[in-house]
Amino acid sequence: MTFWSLSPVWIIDFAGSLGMIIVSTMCLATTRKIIRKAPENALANYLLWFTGALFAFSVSRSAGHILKHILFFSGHFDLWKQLSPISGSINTITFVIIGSVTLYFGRMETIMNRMARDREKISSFSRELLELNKDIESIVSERTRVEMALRFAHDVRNPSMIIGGLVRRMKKNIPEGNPELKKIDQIQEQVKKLESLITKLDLSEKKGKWKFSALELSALVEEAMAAVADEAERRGVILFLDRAPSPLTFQGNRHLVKIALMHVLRNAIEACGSGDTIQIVTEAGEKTVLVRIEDNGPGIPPEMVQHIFEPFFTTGKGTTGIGLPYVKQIVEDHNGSIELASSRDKGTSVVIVFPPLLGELSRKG
Amino acid sequence: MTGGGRTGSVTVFLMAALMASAFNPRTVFALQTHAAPEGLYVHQGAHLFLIFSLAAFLFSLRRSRLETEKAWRLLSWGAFLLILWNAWAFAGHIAETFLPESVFIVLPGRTVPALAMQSWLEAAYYVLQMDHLLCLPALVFFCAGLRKLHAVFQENGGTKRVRS
Repeated sequence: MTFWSLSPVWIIDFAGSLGMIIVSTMCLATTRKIIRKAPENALANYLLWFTGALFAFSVSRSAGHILKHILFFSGHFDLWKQLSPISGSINTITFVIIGSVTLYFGRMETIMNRMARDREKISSFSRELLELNKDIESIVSERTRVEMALRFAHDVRNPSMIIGGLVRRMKKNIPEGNPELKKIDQIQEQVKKLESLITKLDLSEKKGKWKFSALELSALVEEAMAAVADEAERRGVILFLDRAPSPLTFQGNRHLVKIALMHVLRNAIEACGSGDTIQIVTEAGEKTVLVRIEDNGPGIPPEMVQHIFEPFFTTGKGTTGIGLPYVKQIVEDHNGSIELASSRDKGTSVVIVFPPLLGELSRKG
Repeated sequence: MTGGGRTGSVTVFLMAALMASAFNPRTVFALQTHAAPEGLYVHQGAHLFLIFSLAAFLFSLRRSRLETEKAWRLLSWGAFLLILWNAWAFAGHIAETFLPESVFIVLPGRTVPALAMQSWLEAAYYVLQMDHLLCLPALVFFCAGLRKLHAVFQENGGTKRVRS
């Protein structure tokens, strides 16, 4: 009969047990470093639980194995027979703890992903808000400048017209051949130049100088939908986009048009109830591009529809009452138009139309 | 028999059983005794539970594509080796239960016992006892993965998604 000495098994067991204690201690120390770096990070906390359980398992198991060898070689192996069930029970408990912590990883991973997505979304919104703020500042400053220029033109126009009129009247009273007539003609010529300058200033300032660029309507609608998607989800409202097959390009200010679309979508979401649907259609009209936003919510009373685009008029559901007039102003500044139709218990439809090119407002930012 | 009569019979039977248990406690099964094998079953059950949870961990990693990142790849190798170790240890416990005490023999002039090789079972037990060859590398992989994660945390302060 062959006999195999258990020495190699025992040596591996003893050395392995020591190794387990050392490596699991290193694991725990590394995780503690991670948790010190990011004490509020969910993953770091999860790792602390995991390595803590792993450490408890390694130490309890290895300590039992090492003790067994020590007791054997010190001649107290009988004592091990009493301690063995305790060591085994602790091992079993640590298995269950590691298993439970590990099993939670799936949920943990879902939470982490959700947090990462939300963080990216917030960061994206923050970037957009900054850009929007810059655009609004530029628009406000431009409008102030235009208003000042228009007021100046208005104030100067009247005196110049009076001067022109008086000079013409004086000219009528001066006989032909009078040497003063030449001077009168020169004054009249300068007054005409002044009037012409005022007219030019008037026209050019009315045009404004906003940042306009080529935009794609369907893409903008998708961006606006993404921005309000969470709100719609919370209210149980379904958003559905029927996107035009071809690109719908027009010229405009990206942020302003997006804000206008978001206002209309938010109004629709606020009006709708759980289970209602908002259908958004983008399509090319005759020499236009348009977006139609239709909901099957409760609709707006007819007496309110006619005032809906008036500043500070509110249906009572909104917060400021300046939303839709603002939308109308943005659309009209893009040489577009907005129409709203609503019937009680059937829903509301808003159609925003933009010209593919901005005619006299065609400027590139 | 009427419904009331059936209820009466059941009541009489239950009363009789209660009386019998009062006078003969050995036949009462309300308290379950915990015999020695129960500990082994629980321990083996814990091994199986650990295999299941580690497999779920690997599945979650695979589904999330985190496995493509080096730190998580190292952690998943650790989990895989720990699954193998669990299966190894599970088999080792089974082999141990079938092994008679008589196969452990202390040869003259030796302190450490030897194993009398009577069948494949002794050989299997001998190999299965060296389970540290699996669980120690598993821990080494976990440690390497955690160190890699620590490097990533140092890089971004844990504010970004943990990538390596």
